[in-house]
Amino acid sequence: MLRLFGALIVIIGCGLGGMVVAKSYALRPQHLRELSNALQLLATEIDYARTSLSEACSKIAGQTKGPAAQFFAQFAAYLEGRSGMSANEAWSKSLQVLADAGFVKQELETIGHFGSVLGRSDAEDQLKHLALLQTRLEQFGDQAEQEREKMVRLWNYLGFCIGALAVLMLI
Amino acid sequence: MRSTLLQHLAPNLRTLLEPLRTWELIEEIRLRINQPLLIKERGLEYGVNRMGICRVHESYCVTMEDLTRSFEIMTDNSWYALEDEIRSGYLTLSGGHRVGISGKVVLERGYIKTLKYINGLNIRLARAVPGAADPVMRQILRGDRIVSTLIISPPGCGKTTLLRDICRQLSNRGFNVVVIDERSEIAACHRGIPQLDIGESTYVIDSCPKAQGISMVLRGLAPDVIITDEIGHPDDGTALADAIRAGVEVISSCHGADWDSVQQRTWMQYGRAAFAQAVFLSRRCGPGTVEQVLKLD
Repeated sequence: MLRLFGALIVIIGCGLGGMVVAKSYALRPQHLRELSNALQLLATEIDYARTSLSEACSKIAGQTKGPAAQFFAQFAAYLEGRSGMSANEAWSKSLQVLADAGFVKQELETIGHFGSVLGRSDAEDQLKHLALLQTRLEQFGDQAEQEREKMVRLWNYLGFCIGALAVLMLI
Repeated sequence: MRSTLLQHLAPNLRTLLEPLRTWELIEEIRLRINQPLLIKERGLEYGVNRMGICRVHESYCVTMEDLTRSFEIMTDNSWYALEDEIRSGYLTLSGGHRVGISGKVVLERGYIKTLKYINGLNIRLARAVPGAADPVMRQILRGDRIVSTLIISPPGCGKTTLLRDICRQLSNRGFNVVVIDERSEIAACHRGIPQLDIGESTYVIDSCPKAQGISMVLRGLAPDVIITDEIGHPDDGTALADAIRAGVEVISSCHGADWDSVQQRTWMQYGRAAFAQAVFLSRRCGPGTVEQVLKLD
């Protein structure tokens, strides 16, 4: 009886672990879409209102969801800190929020690179860089979508299978 | 004033400038890449190093990082939001301090599109001097009538400071004053809010070309007096003359050493009729020394 109970715990534990991994694949396209939407809002603030970066990002944080909202809130907080931090430094430090949310290295590098030009040129140039970053995020989004289709189903089953295998080996 | 300015500078420069004991005398701070950090006090240049004020050749050498970081802070990391100011070669900071910018000009169809490779910043510290206009107020305000006045001097003699205090005093005496502040020097507006005391009943039209601003306020704001700085374009003269014809007094300034040199300016052809008197300033006993008040026929 105790063995059966232990086996069930192992299978359910591994199954839940697999579902967590599957969930991270399921959320990635959504997170990328939210970030892309937030960048579109930033482009609008720059193009039409010429709002300063800290004010625009603070506003965007309130209009966005998920890690993108936390990222922009963190970035705005660094800029408003008046510590003399440059936009590039603030952007780079804020990337930790996205890293914690499961953004992969290549995505973080692309987003991070944008920090070196952010706020440092006229509106026309800023909009070009923003459009470029959005295009890259859409490409990442497409890849993430394809991965999601494969990996979500895989990890939903794989977790339970690993659990069952472990039980068989232990018995 | 020290804190309002230091917050706009790179941390490295803040550390050097903060301990200085002569802040009330500093007129300008000059930053140029790979050149000594300079301050200007009473018309003279000094260097600054970790020990304090020093000779120019012993001064701390400004790095590209110092300058770039300072410029990023001054623009609030938002160059795009200040395109027009940067194109015109200056910024106005909170606190009213004014920053002249040097760098490489980018032209588009013969017009300045922007500046890049910023290599120098000249910070002029804004300082309201309440009472600066006391020596001329009796000439400008006769009873309850304002006399249209042109203030003339070479650069750096206190024309703008005098205009600002005239504005404050007229405004606080109940006149409806409108300032057309084309270069944001009189009221030193930052995001639309005057940073210096220009009186309690003053409207400010900020960053507006003088001629357009004058015709705009004549229709909308019913001013008793229009105050504007540094007339130079013939259109400015025409607009001022229009203001006088509309029954509004004008007080303005222009560069010039004497009356003869001012009379030769093109704007005087139409603008001359706008003024009833001219005040000449010098630095003989410090900025704002009133040399002469000339009645014009």
